[in-house]
Amino acid sequence: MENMLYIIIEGGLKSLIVIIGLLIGVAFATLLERKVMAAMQKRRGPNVVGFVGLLQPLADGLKLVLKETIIPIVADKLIYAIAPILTFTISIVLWSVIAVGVQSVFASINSGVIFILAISSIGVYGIILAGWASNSKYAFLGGLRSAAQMVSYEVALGLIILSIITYAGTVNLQEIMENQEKVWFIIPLLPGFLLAFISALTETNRPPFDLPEAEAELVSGYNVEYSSTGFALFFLGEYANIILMSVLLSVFFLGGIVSNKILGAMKGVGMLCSFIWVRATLPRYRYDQLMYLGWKSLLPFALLIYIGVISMVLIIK
Amino acid sequence: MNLIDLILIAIYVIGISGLIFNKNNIINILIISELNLGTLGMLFVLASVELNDILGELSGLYILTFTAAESAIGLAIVVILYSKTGIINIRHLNKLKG
Amino acid sequence: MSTLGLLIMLLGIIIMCTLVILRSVNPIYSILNLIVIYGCYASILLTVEMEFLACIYILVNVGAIAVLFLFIVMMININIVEIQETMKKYNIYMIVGIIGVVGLLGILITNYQIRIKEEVIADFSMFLINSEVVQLQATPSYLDFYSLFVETTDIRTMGSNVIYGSYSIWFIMACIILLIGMVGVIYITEDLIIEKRTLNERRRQDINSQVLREYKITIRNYRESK
Repeated sequence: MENMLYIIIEGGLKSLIVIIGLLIGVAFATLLERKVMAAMQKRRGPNVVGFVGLLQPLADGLKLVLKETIIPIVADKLIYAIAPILTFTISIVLWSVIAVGVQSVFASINSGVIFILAISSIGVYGIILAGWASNSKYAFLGGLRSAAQMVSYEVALGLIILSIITYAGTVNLQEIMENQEKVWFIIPLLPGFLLAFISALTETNRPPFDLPEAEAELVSGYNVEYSSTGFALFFLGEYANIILMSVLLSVFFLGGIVSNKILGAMKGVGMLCSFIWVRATLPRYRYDQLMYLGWKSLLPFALLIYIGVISMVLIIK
Repeated sequence: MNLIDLILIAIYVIGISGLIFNKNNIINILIISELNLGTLGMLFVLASVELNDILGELSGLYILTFTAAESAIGLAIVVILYSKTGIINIRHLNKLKG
Repeated sequence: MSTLGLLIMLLGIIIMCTLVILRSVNPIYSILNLIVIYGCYASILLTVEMEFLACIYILVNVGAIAVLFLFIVMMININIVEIQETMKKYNIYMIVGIIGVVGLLGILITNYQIRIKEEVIADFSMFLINSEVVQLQATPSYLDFYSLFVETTDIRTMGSNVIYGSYSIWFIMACIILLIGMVGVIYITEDLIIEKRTLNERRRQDINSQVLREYKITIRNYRESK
């Protein structure tokens, strides 16, 4: 019995460390985004609260929590409450298999990559249910758009990840990192990296593919009706997904975190900065152009890369 | 053959009876057939664990594939029926002829 | 909590959700219950140490098929009253029938229990080509796969021994079935796509004719045209 208690306390402490680290990371990611965008557009950005604006995310969070929670009368109340919780929970659960170093990981499971694919495919439900349950036309259209976008780009991302699995010969994330000690996978798989980057932008609903949030057509997408805490949960989930995608890209293509932890963290932050760079540079796509890009150019290219990687592995090994 | 398999068979039977009771609505029929195929796959997999034979797990994997193909075709029929007639009732299915 | 207690709890959730699926009026609720059921199935698979199959169950069923269902149901306007009327007829018969059939099956299965182990192999050999039957009985029938799962990983065991190994013909047949499904869906909905395309072509901007328009022909004086 004491052994059981020990396991429970240890697991609780570990998960608490992951969650607190993630929340701090999300808070400073929002600050980083505003600062980098301001530097690119020759502005100053937030610099009032705290030393050079370092306390700005805390002030934002306090403001969000202190607002009033509003539930629309026509909404389906149970699903309306479940949807933001689902989004936030899934974005946390995904972090349990990401390894920070070769030994330090929350759960080292054999099929880590497939676990990430499976759990991130559940993430669509938070969005589509939020759109349906709030019973408003703007939210419904935003939810449908965003779900269609995520489902159709998951195919291309999955094919690229399959080709990485085939090249590395394993499904465990740590073994994939260990395989890259000599040569990073970005060198043999450069076109795969480009496709995966585009698909990651679309998966996380970032510009230039931020169609659910298109302010000109839909007010704010699937989260129009949500106010204080619900909106904060959506916001946290979205940014946690962005950080997760940048870390995953750095694990798959840039060698991940093997020996030097600061260097490994810098790879992730670099990917995050490139996400922000894309947002500051490119205009938004139209919806039919987005679908055309997904099904008619990214998917055939991803299949081509997959076949190429298989033949490369067969020739070399 | 233990308790778990028995309960899974019970779920399968409940699903089959649901097919008989919900005979008018195509969407319900598709959902229930999906549930039944999933239960069947689970039965195969658990039998494979019990007998230490990998064939059951393999058939669980392939049932998944067939389920995907079946549900895609069924939903395509639902969409075409709704756009032609405006009603989802299995009695109106003959209007799709020719 | 022991593993058996966990399993029984999961199966209880599954039975409750199945009954909700049968009785629910709104199809969206039945799809959400279907998702819960698939989650329970995946956790049952995790208790017998099949990580790969559990992940694939969630990936295919929850991530792909249930999303399709939700899309279609949300976009179609369903008449709820009609379903309610048909449900009211069968309430009592349903419970009695389920209990009877389950009891019959239970008796049948508990009596059949002893013989099943020898006959399963013979039954499976029916699906194979005749020349392979001898091979099957010779090598892989009683290899201890479960210990192989624990030694390496289940993905490696399944892939190298079965899917790409001795039973690769089934893999190819599954590929053909998926291809037929894809082509069939496109063929069925072809008419809708063609209608939409012609509608879009009518609306399309014809730049050539716009540029070639002349001032004298298109704009006339009001009095002259009279």
